[in-house]
Amino acid sequence: MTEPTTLLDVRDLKVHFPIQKGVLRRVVGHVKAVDGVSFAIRAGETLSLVGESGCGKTTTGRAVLRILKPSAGEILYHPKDGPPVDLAGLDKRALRPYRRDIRMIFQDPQSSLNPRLPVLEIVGQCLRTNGIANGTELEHRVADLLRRVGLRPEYLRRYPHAFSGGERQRIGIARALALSPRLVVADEAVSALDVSVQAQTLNLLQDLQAEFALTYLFIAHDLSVVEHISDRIAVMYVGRIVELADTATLFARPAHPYTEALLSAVPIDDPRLRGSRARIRLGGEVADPARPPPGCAFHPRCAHADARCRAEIPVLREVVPGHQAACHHAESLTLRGILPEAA
Amino acid sequence: MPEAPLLKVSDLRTHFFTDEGVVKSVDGVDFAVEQGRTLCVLGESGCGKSVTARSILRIVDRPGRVVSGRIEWRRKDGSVVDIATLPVAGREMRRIRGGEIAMIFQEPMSSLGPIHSIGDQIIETILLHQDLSKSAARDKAIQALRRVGMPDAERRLALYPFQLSGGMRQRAMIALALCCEPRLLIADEPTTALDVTTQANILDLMKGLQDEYRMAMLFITHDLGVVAEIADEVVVMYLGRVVERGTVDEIFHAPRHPYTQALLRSVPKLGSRGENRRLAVIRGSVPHPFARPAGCGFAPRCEQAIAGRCATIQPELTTLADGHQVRCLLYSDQAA
Repeated sequence: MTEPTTLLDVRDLKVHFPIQKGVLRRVVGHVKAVDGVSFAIRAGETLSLVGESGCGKTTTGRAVLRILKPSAGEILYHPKDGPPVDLAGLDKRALRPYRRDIRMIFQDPQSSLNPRLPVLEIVGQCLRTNGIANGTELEHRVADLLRRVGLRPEYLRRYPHAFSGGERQRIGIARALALSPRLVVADEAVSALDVSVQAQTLNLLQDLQAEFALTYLFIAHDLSVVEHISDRIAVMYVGRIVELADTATLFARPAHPYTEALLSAVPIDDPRLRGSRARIRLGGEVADPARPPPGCAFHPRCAHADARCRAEIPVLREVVPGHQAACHHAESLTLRGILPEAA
Repeated sequence: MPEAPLLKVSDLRTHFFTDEGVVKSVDGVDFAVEQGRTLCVLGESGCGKSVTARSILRIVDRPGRVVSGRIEWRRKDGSVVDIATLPVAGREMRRIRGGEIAMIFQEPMSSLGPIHSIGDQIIETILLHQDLSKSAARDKAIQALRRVGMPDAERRLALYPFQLSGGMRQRAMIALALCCEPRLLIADEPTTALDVTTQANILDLMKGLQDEYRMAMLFITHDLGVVAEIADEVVVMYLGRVVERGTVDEIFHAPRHPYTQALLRSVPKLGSRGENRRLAVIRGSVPHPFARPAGCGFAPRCEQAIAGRCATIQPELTTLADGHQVRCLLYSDQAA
């Protein structure tokens, strides 16, 4: 087996938003939405970013897409041919060739499709502006894309309102795939969908991944969906990655107390097992990313915190090969997962 | 003779009379809630679960109207009143609403006003429903906030909703709903917008409060995990009708209706990724409200539909030998 090739290498990414005050709009502080995030996405895998609202997972995704300009750090993209480029530093014009390779699926199929455009335009616009197809060729292309995502090609001239929520999400997926991207950022792509539609969409995403050799950066908060779809998972807390491991390891043997607490809060889906899992109740609230506490941002809520945690920010480091955690005590803690060890 | 259930809904129908036609959002719903128990109403968007909840409190927005059915509510003195027949803004209805039956929502800002402090809002509600002095009401409000786990309750009384975090706002809303010690709490997706850790805390809190007050809960949700955690009984809705009704154990371990079975199969289950990476799906999607199938609403998507029958015959809710109820022709000959 060959070593998996890296598609995207994010290094020490920071996205800080200035807080402005007064008539002069003086900068009085920064919201450190993403504060030193590093991870690599391997070609063909699904890497999930999980965490609670405000942890910076969406901002990270947007920085990777370069919808946002990072404040610092590198986003090294490895194109099909040629040397890696740092997307973080590129301007609008220089970014253009790479925009085709990294596309996005949005959370809300309601608001992410222009209600005044027919499906042909919504999906086909990017093909036309990139000079790939127009006229009948464009129609053929879009019809083909619709077929791939399980919609009838006759729907070409319909408007978004004529589709159900699940079908609209498929249109969004078709649009993301139109330019044959290599990396797709899916930000809560199934969170707004009903259970039955969610299952259809998850299957579709997996089929398309196999068919087009896609790589996914999957941003979500539903841990059972994440467990189902991901190869590896990165857990974020207040702007940083606190743990990164392959899915089975993370669910069986978390190395960060926050991950342990997060896993223990997942509802148990069998009424007979009610109360069988020891739940870790986190006290207090998520730290404010504008004024994070000194040391480890999780220390005020952590049962294992000591003087070192209150003073020194833990770095994300490899605890065992392939398993990274940002906790001073990762080696000495015995934390409980919610799934048995894989045989 | 056993006591009548706290709330008994029979053959409830709530229709919306729009310019384009009549939307039968709720079209035949039956269930009962017992004191101190939790009934979950489970269903996907558009199945009518929220409209059912709103019908019970008679807060259905126009052009919607409860067109038929009974909503029998047992008062404290044991007398039974049919909420469906009460005037919407009458004295009796206003006494029940907020006093005897309280409701919480997915979005806390739909029950908290933005321009009054949470303390003022809770105190006002207490004064409205109970004969107390202002200072006694204030003490009660502090107590209510403490009970929902709000730290530093006395100081927070003066805070406005926008000064609270999402989880704390949710707690303030629950405190507001519970300040008059309702006998039934209707919760419409109260944890859907919350993070998992906050959701777990709020569910624990609600279970604890229920034990303390012996309050009944009607919990509306689409989340099977939440149902597994808190329900005693479950009602499954599809296209405005109850399709199955049973205990939580039966629903999860012996579901009868093909829709319930399919729904349970289509959720990703933790730890099953090794076996099968594909999820079972329910084909198609929920039909448009104006294009309801003539027979069983689920027939076009059903794997077990009987050709020629399910598409034309509307099945009745059948009670099986074990008390479980199901609306499906597959069971029509097994009626107890």
